[in-house]
Amino acid sequence: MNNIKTFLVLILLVLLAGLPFLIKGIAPGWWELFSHILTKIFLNVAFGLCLWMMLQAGMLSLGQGAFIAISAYMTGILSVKYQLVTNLWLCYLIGALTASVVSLLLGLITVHLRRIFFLLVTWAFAEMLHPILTSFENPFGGAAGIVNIPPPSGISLFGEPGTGYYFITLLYAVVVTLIIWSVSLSKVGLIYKSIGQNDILTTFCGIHVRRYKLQVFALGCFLTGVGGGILASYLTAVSPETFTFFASLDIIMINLIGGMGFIMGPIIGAVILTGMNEILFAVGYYKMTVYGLMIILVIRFLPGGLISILAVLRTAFRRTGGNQKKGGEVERTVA
Amino acid sequence: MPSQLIMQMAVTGLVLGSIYMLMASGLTLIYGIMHQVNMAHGVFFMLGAMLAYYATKFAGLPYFVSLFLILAVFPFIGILFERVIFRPIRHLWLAGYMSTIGVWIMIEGLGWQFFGTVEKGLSFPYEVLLRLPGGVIIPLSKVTVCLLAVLIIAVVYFVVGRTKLGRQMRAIEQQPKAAKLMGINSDRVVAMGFALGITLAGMAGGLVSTLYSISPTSGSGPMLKAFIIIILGGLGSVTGSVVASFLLGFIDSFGGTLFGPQAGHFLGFALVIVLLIFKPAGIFGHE
Amino acid sequence: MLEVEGIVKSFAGLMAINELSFAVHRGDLLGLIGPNGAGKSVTVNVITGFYRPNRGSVRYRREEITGLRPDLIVRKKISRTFQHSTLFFDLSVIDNISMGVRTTSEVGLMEAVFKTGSNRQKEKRIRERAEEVIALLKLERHAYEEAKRLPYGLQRVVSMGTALAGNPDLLILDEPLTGLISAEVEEVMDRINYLHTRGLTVMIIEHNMRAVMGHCNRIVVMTFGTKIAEGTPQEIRQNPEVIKSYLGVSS
Repeated sequence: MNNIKTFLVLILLVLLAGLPFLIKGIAPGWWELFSHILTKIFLNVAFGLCLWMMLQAGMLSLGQGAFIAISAYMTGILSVKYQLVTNLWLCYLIGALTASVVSLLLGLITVHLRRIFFLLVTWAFAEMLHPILTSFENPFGGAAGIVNIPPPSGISLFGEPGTGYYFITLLYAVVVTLIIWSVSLSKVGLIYKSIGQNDILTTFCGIHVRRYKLQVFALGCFLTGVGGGILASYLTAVSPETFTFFASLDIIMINLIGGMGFIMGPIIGAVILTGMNEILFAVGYYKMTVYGLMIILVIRFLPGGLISILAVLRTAFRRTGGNQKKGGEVERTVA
Repeated sequence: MPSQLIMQMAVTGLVLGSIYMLMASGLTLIYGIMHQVNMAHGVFFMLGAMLAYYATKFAGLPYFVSLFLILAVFPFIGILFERVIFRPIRHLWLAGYMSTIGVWIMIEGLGWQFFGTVEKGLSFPYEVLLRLPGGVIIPLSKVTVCLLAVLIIAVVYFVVGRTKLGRQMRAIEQQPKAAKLMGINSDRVVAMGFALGITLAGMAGGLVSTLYSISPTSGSGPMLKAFIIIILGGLGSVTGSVVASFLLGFIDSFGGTLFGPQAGHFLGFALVIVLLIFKPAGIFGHE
Repeated sequence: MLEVEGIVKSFAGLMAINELSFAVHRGDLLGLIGPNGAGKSVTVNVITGFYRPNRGSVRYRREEITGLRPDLIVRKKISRTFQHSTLFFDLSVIDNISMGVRTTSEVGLMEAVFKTGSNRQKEKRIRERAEEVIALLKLERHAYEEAKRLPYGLQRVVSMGTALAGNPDLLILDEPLTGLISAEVEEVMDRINYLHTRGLTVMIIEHNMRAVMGHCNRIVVMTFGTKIAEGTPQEIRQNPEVIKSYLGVSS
């Protein structure tokens, strides 16, 4: 089974890599739209997976949007505001490190307390960020933000910047997925999962829970930060309006709609949510109502997310299928 | 610093504190019985303000009657909220938070659609300025709000501390399983708790509607304050949230006047950080 | 092996343990008994570091472990189980037991990501140890089932498995027989006996007097937070204090 999966994944990657050339050949006018949506999807996949990993450990962060903002703003500050660093890749790295350090600070205060504190503090932090960004001209650029953020070097390797960002974000999403997937299959991932299930029992298994919680938070925020930096270049500008509570909410929705039981969940969720955003974008405030309603309905009727439908289908399929190993498939559910 | 300014800030602090107190105690009540933070709390604040607005502007009701209307309607909203949203997923902690976030967003979205983007205002029926001893000038509206808030909290205190319902609520909060064994109908008590908590939010909204402008996001500011307060005061402690409310009220008032409007925000947050480092149980909290 | 001396523990003014002292010698199968509320579980929590005592000390192998973090205490090869079914419910049985396995060095994040050779070896060893424990407890049929699907009795076996996976020298069992029918009680006591004869020092907190009296070599009796008797089952049976506390309960 694993070999089939790996094969399918490879096919998908090849397809995605070739997609620009395919579409440009068939219907060149459509490429811009496609690359725009797919770039957003790739970023959301990464952001969603980072939160997913934290959720495994029982840490619901309502502030992921803030960490994206920290890294994006850091990129803008370094490259434009103070013109300290010209290599954008370095900016992304520094931005990600900043986000990670901030997450460690927040984590040190909250992670050993009841879960609700983590929730509230990440939420409060995200809410605080908006007025901070708006109030200070230096270094945040106030309400106007920072504009003219340049693209990273190598952007035009495949033609126009749009395609460049497509490949950069694709690579980013693939790397993040690999890292998180790899962790989830290891003992470290098992530790995260067990912390999420029962952190007291985990402690009594000889695990220093606080350290692992800090670790997963810092790692998740670092990986998220890299994407935040890329996002800054992609949008060429950052402003307080880009990173409202809805940025954090989107990432939570990705996990909720897609499902948190399996690693495929947030990936599917990212595709759906980005698609929904594009459709509902024109619909303004209806978006909030629809989102809210969706959250309520999904939790009430499909708490495992869409992936749970697939899981049910998969077991049903397996039961009626022919070749069953004696004793059933030994499948360590992908975290 | 002139003593009159200090007095002025102190009085403002009292007023703010009493408003925060209404929000925070409702949130604390719900947290106490459900061990879930109601992220939708702010939205009920907003609905209270809106009800007051529409009742006075379109139904022509006097302001104080609209407050009674809130008192009459919101308990049912609270019960409905608990029944529809919370009850089915009571046992899953994550689902609870997310559901309340869903309610919040949905209702705020509806609010934007119906209310529009222009902020509206409601004026207090008696535009009178009072002059208090010490040279402090304060509008009657603020004094009324403060007094009514204190009155309401006193009633809440009475209910929680002295009535059978209150005892049952505390029993459920501390020992949910034992309470059930003792025959307490926890479903009913929880519903009552929600009725009370949501009504408090709605009343807060109704009262504040004459002091500040109304918009669909009116609720998020008070809600953030309420969260800060319940952490400071200790989760689940009504006394703690009362004390912390006034503490934050004074911080906001003094900080706002001395350092600028956003200062209160940050000071409150900073205070939470300090508290979490040294005494996470809150000022009055228990482990 | 384990010495508890002068422990005092109170919660918000309520005294749970008052001057408790006793010792567990290597090779003991010690029973800690007492009526509900006597403070037995609190004692276990103090010993294993979950609570910090107000006064007194806990020594393991002459080393002071009072107030150490529970995960550090557990790493000294002390394992414990819990009163109520405490498992990782959504994880499989083998995952549950794998969590109990201790490796000499912690699995690091970097090596987990890059799947280094030493990481692969570690994971292999963890898996092997988990399979060992599963075989020992005859859980092979359920190895990949989610823990929450198992009947209560089997769940208890799994939690014991998790405790055993770390190859402890001292095993503390908190009311392992609660909720089990008498056939299961026999089974569990047999398993405990078996492990005991293989060199494991065991401390059992229990209500089930018959099982405890029948198998333990030493008993400590607690009421209201203090020890009222300590000795062999015969001595305990004849102890007037104990008889007074357990009036009417046949032993």
